[in-house]
Amino acid sequence: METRSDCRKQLAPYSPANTQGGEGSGRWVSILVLSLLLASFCVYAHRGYSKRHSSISQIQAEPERYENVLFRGEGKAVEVRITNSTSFTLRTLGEQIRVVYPGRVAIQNGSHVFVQGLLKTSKGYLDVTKIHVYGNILRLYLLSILGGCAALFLFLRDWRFSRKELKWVTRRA
Amino acid sequence: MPDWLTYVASAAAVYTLLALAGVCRSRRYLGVAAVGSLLPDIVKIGYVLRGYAHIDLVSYFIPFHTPVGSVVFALLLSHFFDASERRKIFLYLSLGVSVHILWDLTLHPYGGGQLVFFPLSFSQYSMGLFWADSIIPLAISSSSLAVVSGLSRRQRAANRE
Repeated sequence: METRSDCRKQLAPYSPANTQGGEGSGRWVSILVLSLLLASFCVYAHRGYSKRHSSISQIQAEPERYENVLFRGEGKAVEVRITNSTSFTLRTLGEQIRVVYPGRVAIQNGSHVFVQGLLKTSKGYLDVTKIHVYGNILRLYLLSILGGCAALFLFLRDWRFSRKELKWVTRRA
Repeated sequence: MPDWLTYVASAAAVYTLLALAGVCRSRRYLGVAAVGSLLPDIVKIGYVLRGYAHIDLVSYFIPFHTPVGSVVFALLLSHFFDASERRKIFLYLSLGVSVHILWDLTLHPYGGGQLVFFPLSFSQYSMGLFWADSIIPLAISSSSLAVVSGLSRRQRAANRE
């Protein structure tokens, strides 16, 4: 006859304490909870951030709403015209806006620029008060690629992904 | 943002400094801190999607570039490591994240600055000390790394003797 202690012995190998399943299920619950928390942050940020930041297409859709509103942007300057003032079209993230700066700036077609100013939507341009022409944006990208490769090398030197356990384990284990 | 090499070099410098102080003894967390220093730039996926695929998800990615959001993300990632390593992985990922956020606070405010107190507030802050293309942050971080690496090598040599 099977006693109660025998049953316990039989069940023991499958009990959460003795299997990966126990740690694993707790781990997956934590992953789920943290993912939901991050997702809620993302939705909350979308609602809050969108009220404060507008894309150029939103500005062009409702120009009267954005008259004299502060705007910051970064992108490529094209159709540059320099007289007593500097004007160009700023292309950023697939959108574009005409920009006017009341002074001469050493800028060329294709330069990467940062601008800050007030929107003059009734006249159809951005009246820039602050401008920065990036000296060498290519260097920034190249150094970033180098940094990314360095981080990956340092990490993968000591860690490998175990597909079986679905986790990163140390290479020396 | 400064270039990624600045973040990685700064994270490595802080890590080596902690090793000098005897806080960390294993080199395997150096890579974790380096990856952590690039984590907040996951927000760039939003910019790439908007620029190249015309899908505007930038505002959804914003939490990854905030202290609280990126630390929660680091905590999530730490669950993809062994339970015995989880605490340390989280701490070193957070170390990298802190380095990144601190550097970005020094920049001129593209996008308005850092959302330091998100989710409590959407106020943005920046010190406006450097432009993103400035070489000064890289000079500071790499020279700091060179100094602490030199000190670390000297300490190891002294211990061998």
